[in-house]
Amino acid sequence: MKDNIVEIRHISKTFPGAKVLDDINFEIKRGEVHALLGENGAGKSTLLNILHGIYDDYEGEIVLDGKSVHFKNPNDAIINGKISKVHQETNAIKDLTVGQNVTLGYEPVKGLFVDYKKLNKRVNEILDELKCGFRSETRVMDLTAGEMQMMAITKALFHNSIVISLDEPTASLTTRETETLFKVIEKLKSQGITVIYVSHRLEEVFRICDRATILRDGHYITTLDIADTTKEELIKNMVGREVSSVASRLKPSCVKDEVVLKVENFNSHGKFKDINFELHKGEILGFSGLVGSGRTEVMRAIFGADKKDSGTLYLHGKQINIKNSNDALKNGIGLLPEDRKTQGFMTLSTNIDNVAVSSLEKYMKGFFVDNGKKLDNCNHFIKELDVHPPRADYLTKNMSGGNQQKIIIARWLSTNADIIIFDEPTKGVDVAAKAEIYRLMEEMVAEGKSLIVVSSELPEVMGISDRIIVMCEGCQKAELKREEFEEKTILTYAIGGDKNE
Amino acid sequence: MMRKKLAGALLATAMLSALLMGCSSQQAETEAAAEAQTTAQAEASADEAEAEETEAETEEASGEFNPDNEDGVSIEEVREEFGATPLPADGTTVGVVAKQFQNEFWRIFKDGYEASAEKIAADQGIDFTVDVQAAQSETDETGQLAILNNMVNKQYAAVLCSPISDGNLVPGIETANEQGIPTVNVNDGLIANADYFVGPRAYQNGELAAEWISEKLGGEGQVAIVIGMPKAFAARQRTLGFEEWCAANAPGIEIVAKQNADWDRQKSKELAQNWITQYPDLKAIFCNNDGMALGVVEATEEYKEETGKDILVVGVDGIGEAYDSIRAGKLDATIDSFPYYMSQIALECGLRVMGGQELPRVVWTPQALIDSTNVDTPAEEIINWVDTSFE
Amino acid sequence: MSSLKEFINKKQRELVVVVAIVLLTIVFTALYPAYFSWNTFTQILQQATINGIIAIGMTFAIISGGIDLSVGSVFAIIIVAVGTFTAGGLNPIIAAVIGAALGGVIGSINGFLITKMNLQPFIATLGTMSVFRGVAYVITGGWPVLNIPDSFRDMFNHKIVQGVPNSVILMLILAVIMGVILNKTRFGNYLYSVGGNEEAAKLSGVNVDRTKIMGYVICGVCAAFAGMVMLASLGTGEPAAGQGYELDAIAAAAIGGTRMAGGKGTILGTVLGAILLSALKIGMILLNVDTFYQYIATGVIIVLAAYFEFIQDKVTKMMAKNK
Repeated sequence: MKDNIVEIRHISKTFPGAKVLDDINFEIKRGEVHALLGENGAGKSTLLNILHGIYDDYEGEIVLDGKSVHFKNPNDAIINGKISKVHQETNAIKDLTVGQNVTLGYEPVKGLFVDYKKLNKRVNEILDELKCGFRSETRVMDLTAGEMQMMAITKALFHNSIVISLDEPTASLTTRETETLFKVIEKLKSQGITVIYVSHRLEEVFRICDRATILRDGHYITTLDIADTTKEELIKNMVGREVSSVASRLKPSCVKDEVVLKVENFNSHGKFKDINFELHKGEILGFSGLVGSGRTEVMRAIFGADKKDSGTLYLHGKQINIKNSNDALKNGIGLLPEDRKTQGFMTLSTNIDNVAVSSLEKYMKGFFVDNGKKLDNCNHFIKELDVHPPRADYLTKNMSGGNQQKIIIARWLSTNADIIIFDEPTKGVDVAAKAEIYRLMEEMVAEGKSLIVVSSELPEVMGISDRIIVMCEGCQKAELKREEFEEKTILTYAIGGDKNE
Repeated sequence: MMRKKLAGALLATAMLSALLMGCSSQQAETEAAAEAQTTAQAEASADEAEAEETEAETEEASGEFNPDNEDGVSIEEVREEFGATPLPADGTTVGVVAKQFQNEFWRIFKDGYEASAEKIAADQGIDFTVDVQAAQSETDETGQLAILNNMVNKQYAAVLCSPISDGNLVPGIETANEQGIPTVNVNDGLIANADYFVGPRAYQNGELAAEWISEKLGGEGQVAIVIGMPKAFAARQRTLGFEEWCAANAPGIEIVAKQNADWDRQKSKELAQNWITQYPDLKAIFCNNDGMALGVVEATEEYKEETGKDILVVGVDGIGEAYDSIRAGKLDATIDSFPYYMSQIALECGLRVMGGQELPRVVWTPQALIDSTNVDTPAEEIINWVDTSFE
Repeated sequence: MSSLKEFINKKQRELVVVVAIVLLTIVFTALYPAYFSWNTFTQILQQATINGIIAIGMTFAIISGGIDLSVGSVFAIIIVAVGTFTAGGLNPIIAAVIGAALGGVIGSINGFLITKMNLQPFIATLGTMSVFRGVAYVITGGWPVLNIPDSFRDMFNHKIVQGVPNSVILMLILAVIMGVILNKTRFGNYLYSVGGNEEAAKLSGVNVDRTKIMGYVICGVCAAFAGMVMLASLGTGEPAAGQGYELDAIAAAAIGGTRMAGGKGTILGTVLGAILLSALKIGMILLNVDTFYQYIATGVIIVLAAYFEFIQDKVTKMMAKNK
């Protein structure tokens, strides 16, 4: 048995116009948890896609368990290579049961019919082994994000995978679910299964990984033993320079007394109730709480994207009526949505159009939209926000997460919006881009804009906010001033407890 | 890559479905025709098995029934042989299933039935009605069957049917046969298992047009035919009658082109435009119905204006607009099958059958070629119409 | 040079359709030399007009992420309505303006159902297809409208250029106007956004409902113009006119590269698609191809057009690699 389970040899990959992987070489040892690190756009996803047969045209060689392999498609990789990938957004068929999803295409049969008894028995065995609370017979639509991930891992085990990749597995998980996942990873490791772990959360890497390979701009940088390294060293290798990984305010607070936005008695049945708060000029107001606590719903209601049952909105002291998102835009309120891929940008549009869509009246020449002006504006912000690659005519969907986010920020900076709501601004964004986004936020408030930041990451919301509102199950649970910020306090409120408990 | 493929697959599906839909509207007719044929044949073979002993019946139900080839008789002959029409019982209702009322032809048809029934009721002093219903459109084959079934359920004294296709009413007629309700197939759309057929000899319809054109052209010249999608029997026979008459009687007439225009006026105009430039010597165009003929006239009139050359245009149906066009000197002729009287004859035949008379299977209704010479002659005069007399 | 390359890159799909038309011309000319003539050319344009105009409107509906199956019925309403107006002696220009406006109003009904009542475009317009057809019959009681005055007919049929009636010029003018609306106005920009990702467009502050309704209004206006072209061409207004025309329009848009899921498509492509279909049909008529085979050939062209998306993708990739 060879010591190296996976060997990456001289792997290169070119997309039209850009070389995204350039001669990558490294090895993954049998039975280790191997972190794959790098900024967004460094080439991690591309490398994983090659490893798992999603891309089949590349240069170089993959050696798996001593044999040279070249998978034609993901199924080929799972069945013949025994190597599975757990996706960032698990793509499951929601109307089927867990068992049906896990065994899809490889159902045990009895004659012409699927043998459901056998199917459920086998799947439940794996679920028990992983100590999952749901059963093979459960419908996928009833699962939480964390459970869906467990299902994906179950699927990998069902196919007897010897290598499992996890791509940003904790991005949409609650703290408790994350803990469960880590236990499962340890379990897999004890069974001799190799885990490839991709994450931006360095704390997690230090908790569960043995070694880490770092990529930057499509190049291999180094592979480090986690035990012998520090967070700072990892970051330095990832970005090629020293940056602070923690959200923090570098400039003094700019909060003024003036109330720019007042939300009064917002209610929406089944989503949230009795929401009341004020946003001051120059303030960064954080919204914390667990996933599903109603934060996003409140923001969408303020922005006019969803209807609310009742409630009044005051802008600069004057009552306004926002019926749809267009009204919000006209009143200078902007929103950066939670899920960039499905809500953030137009899939078929270039950066030019994705930046310009909210501010077309700025580029008019008589009756017509002037494409030159649109381009100039886009290029201005590409430079200002340091977007990579600095190409206005690129399709936004082909950019990395952090750069996509910058494009959407540019969209709102192009408008006159002075109240901007950031929903999970750094989800799936790499360390360096994160720091840049925080810097941008500070610049915005310095210019007199006011921001609301919804975030599930406590360090982020604590580091960047002037004030934090904690939500739990649709209710506003607490409002904390900067000096009251404390992880324990926020968490207590977020899970529904009171401070003195 | 995956996503692209998926998107591609979706796109392809969308396109394919668009394609299928695109063809369905047009091809539905072909398919329906094919289907109709198979249904009719299936029915026929079922009948065959049942009625093995009576050879005569077997022959009739073999699916080869073609009224044009039968020894049909005219209504005058019927009256001569069978005498007066038996009076229906008080409170009788006769059901009529027409094709659709979007076409003028069928509305006139309806008027004929209703006028005739009202006259009978008034003259004879009895309660007698016809219930005339039609499908929503010419593609609504199942809707038409539902209408027939409903009439059979109501136990109407007889049903007179003009089916959309050769097959769509077959099951309903079968039920009527089982329950002893007399069935008469009227005008076109062949129902192999209906008791009687009353209508014009469609084949002759084409012959009349061919004869007239040949005469006008002195037996020589290029002609073209605009056909409608041949779903119903009549359309096929019109073309066939035209072609065969020319082949047999006018070797100098050359049929240079034959194309479908989906019964659509604009499409037939465009067809004619293409032909006019393609065949500078084209002398005449025969169209399967008046609507298409009126479209063709738009093209030939333009051509006449530009070049001074006249092309003969002949239609079929005899709708009011065609008469107007003939009067205006645009359309040259149409074959009128007099729907107003055809329906009256059909009703008369229905009454005779109800009264126990055993008519010949096929009764041909009058038709005549209308051109500028007889366009203002009243129809009664052209066909020598007399109302039926009762016992 | 680079601008030429850029042009080719941007207009790839349109160029493909042009190449297809050229190939078709070569094949037909080889089989029937008289095909290659000014006369055939003008007839191709003329017979692409009605479908072309409807398809221009259809392109708007499809780009918005929807579809409009009711165009054939809108077409019929306009034919009988404008027919009734002009036969009644209304000034032809005023009648045409009213006709176009009426088309827009009817289109807005579709838009309203789809946005405010949240119906699937396919279902909503399937319903209105039947409703509008019924309305067309009701207007005239099922009878055709006769005696359309020459003043109205000449407006569309008069030939300024030899062999080219004004209706063809109308199609070209509409194509230019609609092309400019789609590419150069805010509405056009919004329409692509809404079709590309409706949720993202909404969260960018785009008034999604208004944009979509506007798309269906334009679709209705185009159907109205097409109806008037037919009314003038035939001199009679039949309420049964235009059945099945929506499918020809969808086919033209699809051949021209309009993405059925929305967000992509051009007017130039659609018009070229309509011309391709017309050229194909006339070629087959001139060769006296049997009707049944004509259906098959048309279908094959549509499927090939769809398949071409894949080939095009592959070629682009290969070219990028070789660079």
